[in-house]
Amino acid sequence: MKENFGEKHKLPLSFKQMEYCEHTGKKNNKKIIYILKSEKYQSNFYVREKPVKPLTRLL
Amino acid sequence: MRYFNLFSNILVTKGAGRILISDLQRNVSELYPLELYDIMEEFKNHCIENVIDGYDEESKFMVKEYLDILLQNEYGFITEDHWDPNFPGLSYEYDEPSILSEIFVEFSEISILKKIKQSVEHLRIKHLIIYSKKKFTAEDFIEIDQIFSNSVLCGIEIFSPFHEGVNKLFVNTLHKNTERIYNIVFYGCRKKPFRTRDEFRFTLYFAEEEVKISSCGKVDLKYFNTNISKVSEAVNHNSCLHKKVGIDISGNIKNCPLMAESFGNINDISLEDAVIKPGFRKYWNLTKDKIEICKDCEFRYVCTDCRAYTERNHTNNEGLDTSKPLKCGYDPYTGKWETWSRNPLKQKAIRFYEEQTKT
Repeated sequence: MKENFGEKHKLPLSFKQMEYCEHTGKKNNKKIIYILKSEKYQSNFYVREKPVKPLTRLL
Repeated sequence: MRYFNLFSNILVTKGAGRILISDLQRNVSELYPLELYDIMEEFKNHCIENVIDGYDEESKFMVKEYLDILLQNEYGFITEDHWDPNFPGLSYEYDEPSILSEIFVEFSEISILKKIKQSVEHLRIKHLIIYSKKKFTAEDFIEIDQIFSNSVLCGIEIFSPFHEGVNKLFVNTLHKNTERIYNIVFYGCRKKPFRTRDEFRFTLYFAEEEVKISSCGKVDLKYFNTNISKVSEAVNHNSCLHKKVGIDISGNIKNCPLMAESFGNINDISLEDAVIKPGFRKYWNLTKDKIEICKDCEFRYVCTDCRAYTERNHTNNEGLDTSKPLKCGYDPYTGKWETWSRNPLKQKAIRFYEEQTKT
């Protein structure tokens, strides 16, 4: 049973299971989207993209 | 009666000795024995019970194990009475709106980049890769980035020699003053000037080796990618040269700066004119399925090809080089990786390219 911490009314049970999400605060560069300007595409939200494959294989 | 349904995003590539199952939603590929391919084919036409009954007592257990693997990895699911018709095969059709998608420049002088700027716009080129023997200053990096400000380029990658001026302040200056650069490699770096973390707007790599442009074309597991764009391009086109253009150190416009054939010099003709020259697109549709040995390799759609350095032992009816890439040490018939440069069968081609570099 859910414990009552003195609330007047019973709080609705909204989560059957809750998991603690650890916030490390570490900046993940991969998730940042960098926005560029492109005149031809008339956009201020032209997304900088990495290619889908290695364009060179020098290393 | 139970039926096994393969999810639409699962691509199975059959090789001579193994199969590669690529999950195009999770972007991962896994290797499995060839016999799993036969079982998966049987699951397409028969119910699970019939497939299992078709095997001898000892193998029945194995088939069930394979089925468990398919289910555990979420390659598919089971339905009762019939297959689920809501999972038709994916189309691997590939379409890229740009006329060219990437340009690989062996850097000689900054004026070349200014010269190609308009062509980059017209051809809607997305990525620029620069290999330089010149030690770039922070101003050089910033100038390159600014030449293409407001352009259609959505990414720039630069290989430059490491020098004493490269330190955290130098890289921070680039971080604050560049937009399109997504990757910088400083090669010939004996000692990293500082510990790199994910703190800049580009990835930074200090390579110890002296990278030459002729080092390109290596085939290695680290260069394999599983994603639907890459795979569908590889199914339909050449995974390296499709929609690619190169400019070598002398300004010659080529399919790749390392290839011999030139389609004119950037000082004389524009990229637009070079692209429509006969022969410029001849390698674009040469898929791995048409390349000797590669056509039997399970990695053929996740690997990136190389036509600049090949084993030079096969040509097709159209005169195209269909030999295996020289710098691939994988043998799909044995499933083993070996050092390509020590392979006795490759020595003749290696000597040929060494001679070519000298001249």
